[in-house]
Amino acid sequence: MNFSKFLSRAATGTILPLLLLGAWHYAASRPGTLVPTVSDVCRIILQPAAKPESIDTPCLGFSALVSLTRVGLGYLLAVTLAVPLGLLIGRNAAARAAVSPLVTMLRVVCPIAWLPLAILLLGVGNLAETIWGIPAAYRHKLLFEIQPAMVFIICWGAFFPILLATASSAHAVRKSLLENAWLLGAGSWSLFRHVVLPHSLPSIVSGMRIGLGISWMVIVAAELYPGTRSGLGYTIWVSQDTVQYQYTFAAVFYIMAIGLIINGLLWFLEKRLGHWQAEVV
Amino acid sequence: MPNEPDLAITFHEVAKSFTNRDGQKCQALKNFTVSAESGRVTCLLGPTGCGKTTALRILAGLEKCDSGYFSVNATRNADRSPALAYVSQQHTLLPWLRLEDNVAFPLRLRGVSKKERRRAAGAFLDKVGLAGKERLFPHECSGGMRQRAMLARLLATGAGLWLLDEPFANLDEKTRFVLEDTLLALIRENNISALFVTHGIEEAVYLADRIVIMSPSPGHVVANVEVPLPRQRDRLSSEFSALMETIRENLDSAILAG
Ligand SMILES: Nc1ncnc2c1ncn2[C@@H]1O[C@H](COP(=O)(O)OP(=O)(O)OP(=O)(O)O)[C@@H](O)[C@H]1O
Ligand SMILES: [Mg+2]
Repeated sequence: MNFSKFLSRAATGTILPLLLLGAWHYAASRPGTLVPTVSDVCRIILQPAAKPESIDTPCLGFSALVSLTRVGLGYLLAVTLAVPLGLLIGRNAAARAAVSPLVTMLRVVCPIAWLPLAILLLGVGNLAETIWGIPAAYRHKLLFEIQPAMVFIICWGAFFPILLATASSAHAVRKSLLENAWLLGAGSWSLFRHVVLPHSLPSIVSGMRIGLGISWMVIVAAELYPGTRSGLGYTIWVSQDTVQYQYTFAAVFYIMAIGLIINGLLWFLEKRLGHWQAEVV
Repeated sequence: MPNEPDLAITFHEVAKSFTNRDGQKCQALKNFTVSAESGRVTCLLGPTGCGKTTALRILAGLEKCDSGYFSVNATRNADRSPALAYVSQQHTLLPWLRLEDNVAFPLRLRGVSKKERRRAAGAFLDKVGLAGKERLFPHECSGGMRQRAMLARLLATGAGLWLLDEPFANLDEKTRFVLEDTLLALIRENNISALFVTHGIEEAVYLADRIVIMSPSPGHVVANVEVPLPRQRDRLSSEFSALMETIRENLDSAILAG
C-alpha cells in the first residue's frame, strides 16, 4: 500500500467520526440542553487532574489509574491461570473431558453477574485493609481502591476467552508436525516447547486481546456498582448523578483511548508472533 | 551368511488393518513381505491406496502392525530407530522457523550449540541448492524449495536410511527431474540406503536399483523388478522405455487380478 492510498483510506475512515462529532456539536448548541460542548469536554480530557465537583471524588487521571490497576491485576491473574490450563486441556483428552462441561456452564453467564457472589465471598474491603496488614501511614492511596472482588470478576471475564483460544489452538497442532518432531528425537517436553507452544502462541495472544477487551468492559460496569469510590466507571456514575456531563463524556473518552492503545499493542504483538500463519498450504 | 545381501529393511508377512469411524475394517496391508538392501535405492511402486504410506509409517514406528514383523538394520520391530529418517507426504517444516532453523532442528534436539547449528545448516542448504535462502520462512518458499529444505533436514539427521514418501509428487516435471538428481547425488555421497515411495513408473525406473510393485485391497507385493540400467540414466533410451513397459504390464495385470 503506497502512502497516498493510505492517506485516502485514512481520510475515508474519519468521515463517520467527524459526522458524529458534528451531531454532538449540534446537540450541545441547542438552547437549554444538558449536553456538554465539545470544547468543554476537550478541555477536561487534556487535564488529568480535573475532578467533578463532588465530595471525595478523585480526579480523572487517578480514576484511570485505579481502573487500570484493577484490570491489570485481574487480567494478569487470568493469563497466569488460563494459558497453562488451556494448554493442558488442549493436549490432554482426559483433562478436556473433565473441565470443558464446567467451563461451558460458567462462561455463558455475564461476568458482572458474579459480582454479588464475589463480594459475598471476598467482601467489599480493599487490598490495603483486608490483605496486607500494613499500617495506614505506609500505604499508598491506590491500594485502598483495589477490591479483591473487582479483581476477581476481571479475572473471570478475561479467563474464558484466553482459555478457549489457548485450548483450541493447542488442540489443532498438525499431527504430521508432531509426528515428525517425534521421529527426529523430540521427547514430550521438546514437542511442547518446539511444536505446541510456538504453534499456539499467536492464538494465545489473540485470546488475550479478546480477554482484555472484555476486562475493560467489565471493569467500567463493575465500578457502577454501589460502594465504589473511584475508577472511570465511578466517574461516569457520579458525574451523571451530579449533572456534570462533561466528565461523563471525558471518562468515556478515557475508556476509549486506553482500550484502543492496549488493543493496538496486543494486535501488534499478535501480528509479529503470527507472521508465519500467512502459510496457505 | 556371505551370500546374502546386507539388508537395511525387511517386512515379513506384515498385516495391518484400520477401523474407520463407521466401524468398517480396511485391510491396508496383508502378507506384505519386502526387503531392501543396504546402500541401494528401493522403490515401492503402486496405485493410490495400496498401503505405501502405511508401510513407511510402520517402519518409522508411527503405526503398529497387527501381525508379522519388520526389521531395520537387523533390529526387529525397532521403535523410532535413530538410523532412520522419514519424509512424509506433506511437508513437515515447522512454519514458524526459518529454513536454517528448520534444517538445524534435528541438531537442536540433540543440544548442538547455536553457532555450530548455523554453520551446519548453511552447509546442508548449500548441498541442496538453497544457498542464500537460509533466512526464508517455509511459506515464503516454492514447493520445490520446501522439498529441497526437507532433503537438507534429512542430511542433518545423520541417518543412513531414508524413507521418502512421494516427496516430489506435487512438483512440475522439470523441477522433479532436477530434484531427483539432487537426491541421487546425496544418496551416493553419503552412502544412504533409501526406500522411496512413488506411484510414478518413470520416477521409479529413474531412481531405483530395485522396484517393488504393489497392488491394493489388501496391499501386497506382486513383483520385484531389478533395474540393471547404469547410472545417469537416460529417460529417452529404449532400455528405459522397455523397462517402463514391463512394469506397466506388471501393474496392470495385478490390478486386473485384484
Ligand atoms: N488412519 C487410517 N484410518 C483408516 N484407514 C486408513 C488410515 N490410514 C490409511 N488407511 C487406509 O489404508 C489404505 C492404505 O492407505 P495408504 O495411505 O497407506 O495408501 P498409499 O498407498 O500411501 O496411497 P497414496 O498413494 O494415495 O498416498 C487406504 O485404503 C486408506 O483408506
Ligand atoms: Mg501415501
